[in-house]
Amino acid sequence: MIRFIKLKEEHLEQVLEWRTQEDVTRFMNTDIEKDMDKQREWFRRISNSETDVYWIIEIREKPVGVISLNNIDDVNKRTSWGFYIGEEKYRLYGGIIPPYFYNYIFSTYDFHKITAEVMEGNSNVIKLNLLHGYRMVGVYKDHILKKGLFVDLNLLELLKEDWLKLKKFQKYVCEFEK
Amino acid sequence: MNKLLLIINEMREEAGLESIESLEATMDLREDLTLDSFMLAELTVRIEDEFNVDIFEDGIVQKIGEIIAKIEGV
Repeated sequence: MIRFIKLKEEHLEQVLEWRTQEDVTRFMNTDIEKDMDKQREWFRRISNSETDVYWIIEIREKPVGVISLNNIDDVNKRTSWGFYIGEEKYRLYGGIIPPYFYNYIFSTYDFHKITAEVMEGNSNVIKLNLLHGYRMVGVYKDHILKKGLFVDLNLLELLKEDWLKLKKFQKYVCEFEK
Repeated sequence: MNKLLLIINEMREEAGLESIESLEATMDLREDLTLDSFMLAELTVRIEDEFNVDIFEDGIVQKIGEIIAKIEGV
């Protein structure tokens, strides 16, 4: 029912549409222009990157959002990540998409931990992360300049051993395109 | 389904909404219980946590009755 397919050029227009929606960008660290040339440039950059991987989230064959590994650090065996669901109707899947992702990455990559950054005000996502076994690391005060105002950035981390120790969500396994 | 009612009321209270006294199978999650997408996302995790049930196994659910059926394995 849920699968994750590699981000391809054919998805770029849809991704740009989602990524520039107010309800998606409001908690993003960066805001981007609705510019397909820049979008293609971004795609070329991440396609050649050895530290970033992007997938499209598909639910019943409908593309609904994007999930990514970012700043993969092979030396220290850690990564950060992000995801969003562009299609409002499917946002209620936001609680179970991460478990699919954690089960995949902790069994496929040699990560010791994954880190998350959550913008001030996005309390639902902090709550979800804590339910998934994260611990709160701290807060960068006034870390992001968003629409002329400095906002805080919450830092969280999930160790592989803590995810496995949780012994929950183990059945959330699905196809990830390599 | 006292536990489900408890979970929903905890979430409603955190969102500044009044508690409800009981759950009816016909209640719509969004319309009647005023749960938005983010609250529904949290609800799915809490249900998985408490009952070990994936409520989306067969698609999107809209009514309380669909969740109860999943929990009861109907």
